[in-house]
Amino acid sequence: MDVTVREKDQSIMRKRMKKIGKKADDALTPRVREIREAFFEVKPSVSIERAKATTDVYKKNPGLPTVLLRAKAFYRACETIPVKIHEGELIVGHPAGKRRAGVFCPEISWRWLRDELDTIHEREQDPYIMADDDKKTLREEIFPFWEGKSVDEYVYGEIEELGLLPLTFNSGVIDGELKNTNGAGEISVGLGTILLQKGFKGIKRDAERSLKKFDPKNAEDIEKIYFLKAVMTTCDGMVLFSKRYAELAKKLANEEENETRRKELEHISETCQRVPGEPARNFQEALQSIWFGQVALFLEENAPSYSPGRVDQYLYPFFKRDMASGVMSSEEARELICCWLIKYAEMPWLLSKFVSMYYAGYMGFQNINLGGQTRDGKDATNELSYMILDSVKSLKMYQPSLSVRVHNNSPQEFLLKIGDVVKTGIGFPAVHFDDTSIKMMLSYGVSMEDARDYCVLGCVEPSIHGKLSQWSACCLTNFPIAVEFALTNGVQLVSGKKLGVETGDPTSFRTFEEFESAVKEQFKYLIRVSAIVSIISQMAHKRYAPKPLASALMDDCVESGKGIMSGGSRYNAGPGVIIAGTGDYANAMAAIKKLVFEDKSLSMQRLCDALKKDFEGYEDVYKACVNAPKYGNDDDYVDAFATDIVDFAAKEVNSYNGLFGKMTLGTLPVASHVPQGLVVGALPGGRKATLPLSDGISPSQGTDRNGPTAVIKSVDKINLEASTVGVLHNMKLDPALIADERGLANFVALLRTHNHLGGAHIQFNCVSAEKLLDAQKHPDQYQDLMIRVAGYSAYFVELCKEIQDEIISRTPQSRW
Amino acid sequence: MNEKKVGRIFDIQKFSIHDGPGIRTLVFFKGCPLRCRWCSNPESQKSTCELMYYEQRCALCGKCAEACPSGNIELVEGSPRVRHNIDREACKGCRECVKICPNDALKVAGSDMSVDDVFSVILQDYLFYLNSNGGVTLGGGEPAMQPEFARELLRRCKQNDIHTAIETCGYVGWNVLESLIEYLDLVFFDIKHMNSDRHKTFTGASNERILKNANRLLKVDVPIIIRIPIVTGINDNEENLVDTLKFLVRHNTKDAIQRIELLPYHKLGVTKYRRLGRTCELHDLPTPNPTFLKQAGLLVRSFGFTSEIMEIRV
Repeated sequence: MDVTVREKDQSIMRKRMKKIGKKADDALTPRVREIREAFFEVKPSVSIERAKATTDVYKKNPGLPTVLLRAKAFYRACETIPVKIHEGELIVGHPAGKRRAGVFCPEISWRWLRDELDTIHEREQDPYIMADDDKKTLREEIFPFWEGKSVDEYVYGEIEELGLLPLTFNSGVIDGELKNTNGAGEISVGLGTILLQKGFKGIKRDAERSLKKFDPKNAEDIEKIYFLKAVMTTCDGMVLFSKRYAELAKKLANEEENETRRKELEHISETCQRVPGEPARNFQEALQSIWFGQVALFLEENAPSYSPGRVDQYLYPFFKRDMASGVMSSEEARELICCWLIKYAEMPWLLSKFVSMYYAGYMGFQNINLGGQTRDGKDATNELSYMILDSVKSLKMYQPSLSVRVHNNSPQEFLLKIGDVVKTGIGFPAVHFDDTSIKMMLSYGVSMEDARDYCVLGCVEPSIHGKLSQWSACCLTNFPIAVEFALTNGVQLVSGKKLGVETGDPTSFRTFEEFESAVKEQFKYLIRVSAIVSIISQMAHKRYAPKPLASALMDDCVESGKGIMSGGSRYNAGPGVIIAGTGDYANAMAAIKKLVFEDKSLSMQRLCDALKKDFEGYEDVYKACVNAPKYGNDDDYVDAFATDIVDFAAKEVNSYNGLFGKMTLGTLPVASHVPQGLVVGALPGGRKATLPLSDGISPSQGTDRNGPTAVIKSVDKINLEASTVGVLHNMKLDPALIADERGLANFVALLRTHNHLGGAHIQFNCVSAEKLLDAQKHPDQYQDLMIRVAGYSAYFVELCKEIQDEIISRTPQSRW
Repeated sequence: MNEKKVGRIFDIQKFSIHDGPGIRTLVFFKGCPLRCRWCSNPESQKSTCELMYYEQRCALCGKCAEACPSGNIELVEGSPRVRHNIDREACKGCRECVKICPNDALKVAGSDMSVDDVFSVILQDYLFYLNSNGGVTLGGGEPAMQPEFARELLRRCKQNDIHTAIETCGYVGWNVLESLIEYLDLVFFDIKHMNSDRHKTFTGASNERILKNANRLLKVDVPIIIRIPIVTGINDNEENLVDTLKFLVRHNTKDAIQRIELLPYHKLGVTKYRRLGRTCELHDLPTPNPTFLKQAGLLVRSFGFTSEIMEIRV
């Protein structure tokens, strides 16, 4: 779809933008405010409706190919999931029929919920409530059936067979559980490019046409036939699901006494009759259609990072038409946008206790993107971009995640608006820089147009809407543990277990280079194991969790008869290996190089002793380590290590092949730097044992002392485009710094320079430490206080104390 | 490197945004001819390197006393706790005590840097200057107290198209100031008090030379921002402000004054005096009355100038 904004439209839009921009501080409409308040009254819960439907279908159809089982289970869920339209809603639908209810998917993994059934409501991070009846159903009917049949168990068995369990499960050194305890997700399916244009009925017609190409007499065609039939069934399922909403809306309209609301409900009913079966014709249909698309994804699999992508681009033609014809006022558009945005917050990604430490805050990572360039390289910002930015700003909801794309010709007005939203302290938007992100995409061999059209999914991962299939995260590990293993000959300090390889007695290294190659040896091993676990996980999803619904919304899948788990997407890459602790790694290496090998002021033995004792009794060693050069201060001596390890890791990871493409590197550990820190002992850079690691490519907490320009310089020395899955850079910012016009102008200059220097991503944590400390003490007064935890927003008071403390410990950038 | 081209610098602060346009690097020169009682950078005043002692961080281990080659530090019994006696006059700033201190409780203000040293730090943020119309500001202390170093540094900046500014107290020889102007895009010039006696009481020097320099500077073609500190009980009265503004109007014949910045007294420097072993005479001084500041801003504007109150935002 061509969404290029023609030059001559630009000036008209500019004027409109100004008008809209001034309304940024308008209070939300009463309707939106009520919906928002109702949201906050609801406690997150677990829904087992989909699990019941799935179990029932699997029980009754033994022997059916998995892809058909999944499709039938999907259809059954569409038939049976409760439908609910809440007071005042204009955009409707939820995969559990209940706000903030997570969808339990036993065929992926169920053991974690069995173990947590009696505690999930009171666990520290992200508790969920559950009905007693549901617990009973799970215990008696659902869990017993799935024994030995879930993706989780299959993967676990294979890893056990290879003897890799101690390093990859529950060790914290490598975490390979993400894709086995959850659906895959991490995809921006073509909601805008396929669903809005064809509707599920159109997709089904395509599948029927494609089906004719294949003949069951050919062995290789049989799976394709099953796949296409599965696509057709899921399409039927979604049409049925929306019809149920149409009927409900009609029923409610008939019962409604308020004339205005009755008309709204009638209109909702008409909208749901039409979409997502048919192509959308107007703005409301477009919003409702892509929301149903989102619901469908969650119905297929409880998973992270289903990201709608560049909504201001693909929704714009609908928006523009309705605005131009006068059927919609900008106030109505704004209200509709708010009603639509709030729906994303209603959809948590259900997680086990262990994994929720990594992805804290009921996050779904549903990322919407604004701005950037068009497919032919012009500025893509339009008036809808500004309206959505303003809506996010006034809504202050933790979902959807909001990313903006910045390029060399981004309008000043757009960048100022970004500052305007950043200073509200909601932690959004994340800023992505086009040059580097486009390079990342080009390295996958995509067309230049597709690269320019990249979207951002999940936390910070560039992708291509409807075209690129790549798991962002399968295994998560960290850089500093390789340093630890090189200093212990492979023994983990906190456990005493031998988890690394043997690289020799640390005192035997005669030169720094010898030591460094030992570190790299350790690191290579961690990547090798990560690669193995990733491939096993991919194979398990291919066999036991094919995804006909998501596949139906990806270019080429229907045409080729191959789903996304069979490599059917236009472009394929990954899975990503995610690595935390770049800053801690650089600091550790710089300290050792300087103190042990250059200055020779510290012996290797003494350093190792000090690290073993977490520096206790070694105050002089600690001081020397702390005073060694630190990453994030524009000091080449130490920054060189960050650059080197990212290049090294990328090459190493890229040397492994996933099922459908090269494996890829991401330096975006989301919140994993916190739990991973728990398993890493004291580090030579002066980080004490078990404290959080540095996140993404950000400097270690509190060690950046030269202000934001120096941090940006250090970060941008890294060849960020090598980290193609994405990079994450969080910077805490004192809101006073961007309070006035001058501050905002300098903020924009900071962004532009970051872009010119080859930056990829930056996100601002714009809240004072005092406020955070107070929020810890009085959580009830800070319910809507939103805060960045490594690349995404969450409500501060909903985070566990460790993560809260970690946020507070980051250096505030208050020099302005 | 020419010996004269070594400067004594006590800090280089990147991302300064209240000392001229855009994103700037602020180079703090050590040494000042004035001794303003309200000075928030007391470590800037003396030209010699000075030891700063952070008592709260100190664990009283005594390692510094052992390390000092001249025996300038001793631990003495005191009430309620042991005190460090530091012979600051004798201290040569060798930093042996700083290196040994396990708690970072000692720091030396002032280090000798070559023009290359300083300029390489300046260059690190080059792109930020370009994108923000920012640049470099020399402050302190009094940069004109180290004229050759300052001039060379400014020359290097201009050679690289970096916007330059200086913050001066004006109590320096005119020829010195004049020699810097060639390489300056902006001058921040302080006028503290119009009454020469009071000026002398509070800054240690009379104001004639300063006013004369202001007069001369206003005849030269360089943009000027006048800075007036507003210090409670010292110059926070309308009369002095009116006198100052009258003076400025009279001499602003080339319309060189871009704006007048009012700098309300703040207490952020108070603890530094203690660290230097000095007592801050004004430690009880309240910050200026906001109502007066507001009036002062209006007054400045009534004389046809743009005004800005440079408040600390914490």
